[in-house]
Amino acid sequence: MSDHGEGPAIGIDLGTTYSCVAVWQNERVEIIVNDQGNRTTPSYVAFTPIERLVGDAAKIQVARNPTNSIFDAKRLIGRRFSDPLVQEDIKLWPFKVICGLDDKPMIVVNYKGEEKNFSAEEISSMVLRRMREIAEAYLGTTVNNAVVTVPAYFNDSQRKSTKDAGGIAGLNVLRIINEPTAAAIAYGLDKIADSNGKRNVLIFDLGGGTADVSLLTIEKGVFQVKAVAGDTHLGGEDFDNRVVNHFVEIFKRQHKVDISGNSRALRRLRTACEKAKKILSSAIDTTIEVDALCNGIDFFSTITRAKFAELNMDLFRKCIAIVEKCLTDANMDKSCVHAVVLSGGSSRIPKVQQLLQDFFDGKELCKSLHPDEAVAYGAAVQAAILTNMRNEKLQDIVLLDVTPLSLGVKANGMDMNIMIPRNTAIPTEKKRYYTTGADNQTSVLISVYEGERARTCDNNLLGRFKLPNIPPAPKGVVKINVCFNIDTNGILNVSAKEMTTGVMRNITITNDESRLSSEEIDRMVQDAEIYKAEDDEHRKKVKAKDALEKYTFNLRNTINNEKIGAKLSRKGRKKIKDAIQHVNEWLDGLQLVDSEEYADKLKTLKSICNPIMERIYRLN
Amino acid sequence: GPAKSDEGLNGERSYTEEHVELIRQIKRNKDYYDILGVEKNCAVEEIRRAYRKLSLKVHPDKNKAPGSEEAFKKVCKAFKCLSESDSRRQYDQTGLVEEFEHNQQYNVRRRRRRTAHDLFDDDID
Repeated sequence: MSDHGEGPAIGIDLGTTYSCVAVWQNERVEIIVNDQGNRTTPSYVAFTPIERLVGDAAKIQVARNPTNSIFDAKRLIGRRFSDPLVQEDIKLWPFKVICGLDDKPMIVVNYKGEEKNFSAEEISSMVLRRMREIAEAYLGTTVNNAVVTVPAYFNDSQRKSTKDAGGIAGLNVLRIINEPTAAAIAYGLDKIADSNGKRNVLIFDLGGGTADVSLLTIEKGVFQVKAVAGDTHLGGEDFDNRVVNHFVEIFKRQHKVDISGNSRALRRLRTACEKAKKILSSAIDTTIEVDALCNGIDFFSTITRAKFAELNMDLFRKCIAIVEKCLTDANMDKSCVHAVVLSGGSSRIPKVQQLLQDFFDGKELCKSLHPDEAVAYGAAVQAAILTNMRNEKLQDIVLLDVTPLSLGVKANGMDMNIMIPRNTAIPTEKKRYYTTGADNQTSVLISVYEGERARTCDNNLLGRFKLPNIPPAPKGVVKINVCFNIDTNGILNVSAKEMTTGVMRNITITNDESRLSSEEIDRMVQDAEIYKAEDDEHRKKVKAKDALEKYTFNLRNTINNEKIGAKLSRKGRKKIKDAIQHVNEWLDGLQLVDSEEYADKLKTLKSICNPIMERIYRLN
Repeated sequence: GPAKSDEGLNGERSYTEEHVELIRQIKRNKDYYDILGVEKNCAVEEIRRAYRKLSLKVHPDKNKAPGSEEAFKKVCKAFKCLSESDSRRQYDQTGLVEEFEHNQQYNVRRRRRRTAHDLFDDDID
């Protein structure tokens, strides 16, 4: 898994709804098209009685197979089942999510007639593996290394789980980088040569599932992130939900039928709403049409751009609040921002653009990036930098990123004592002295948290460890040196040392309860290989079946051909016709079987027909 | 002169004598101005420029020599302290190099608690 040296490194934008892959090649970034000719691939995985589908093929069949078609894994990754946001989402999803070990959400599907549980990491790994295959098909070589992007506001568990997903997909994840930062690279790359001054750039990244804002200073190749802010649960899908609910109400009013419990109807309505939303970015009104939505009733309605904006206004305002918070954190007045850059599919929404422009006092927004591709583009550039690609353009670029959330320890019973404030440049290190809270205390428990709330119970526990063997002393006498260290990969290491005895303990924060253990990851890597082998086996079967069908089809055409047919004896023709019919009946009455069986049938068929056909050709 | 840096294959990175020397220099220095290589009375603009230039040479992504991460942390610390007028003034007056907190909202509470020698009394339980 860690052959760093092998082959090119790719950039993957692992999105909530769509993913995109890019590579640095021939002095520039190439967005790689998938086998369907699309530049983005749906982040969908579907399980059927006979096969597993990933990407376009999975999304297309979603209305037929709603309970086994999985999407939105990014909204689950690194979260707990009891998270209120997860509970809200579960209500909207047609697939089943249960509570696994340690409060970990598990997705339940039926695959080849068997019930199976998957973690969000596994589903995401299947999408990542597909993106890798797309790149491999294009490059004609194995790809092992990748930079994967996450929302800037993803917390530690969400980042590490995403990295695990990469590992399960057999990828060596060179770096997890922030989506808006990646978009900033895409924006700034071409501007390095021709700009001398310092530019403050605000990236507004509104995607399918998340909203992120990042403020950077770009100066001659140095991309310095000043502050990030965001909402990991605000995006295009939430806007779709509002529209779906609106039409569920209308349908109820018009036809006295409530479809809110009907997952198939909801899915079809949602697809129509998503399409309408996209149209409303260019048109001012559009129609929604779903044939036989429920009880055979055809649904027809219209929606205007204004109505769409009205349904989502509070969500749009939330986006602007994120921009405000980012500026406040960076201690920058909005008038100092040189460019406001749009990224993410939902940044196309006219009302969002208008609110943003109004907020920046009428400033023209920068729409030069491709909203769906900019993040993968930037990730590919970073991948090239990290693998030391020799290129003049890349030589003088460095990305200086920050921590999105404050990190600290629990002190005085329940206080969040911050060691590293949010938006600190990484890598970084911070040391501080602590002491005991009781007389003759012989050990201390160090609990590490992330978050912005004053009490640790409102923040996210990353891990804890005990420092033992403290010499007895009155409270407040013992000196304990606690050190927080974050490396370039954003991995936090915490150590504690009692100063008189020199007893030292440290942990790398990786053993968060909701995370996968290394054994679990190993198992999933093996499972992934099994699933891949099954997919390959399935493809082999389909190919063998296809070969058999092709042969019988050609054979039939040949004997029906006047010139050749005329030369066949009646006996010979009947023999071939019977053989073909036998094969066709066998094929019709059958689910997919082993490729060998098709091969055998083909062999038998050939052994019957070839001698007859050869005789004819010899006659010629 | 020293060999060009990127001779290695993908992943097999080499580094130059210049990279090593730079790290050595930063590690040697205790004074923030010396670390950034600027004059005591320089404008904030110059501090920013020095930080940017050093980033391109010291950041672990750009400098594969051992110790680059530690050196870069030091550069960041120096920059953070000297780029803001309050902390720079305090540094100039006291020469204290530890614990410059910059996220405004946390400062009030912590300053109150901290004693002159940076020994303070949060309990851990």
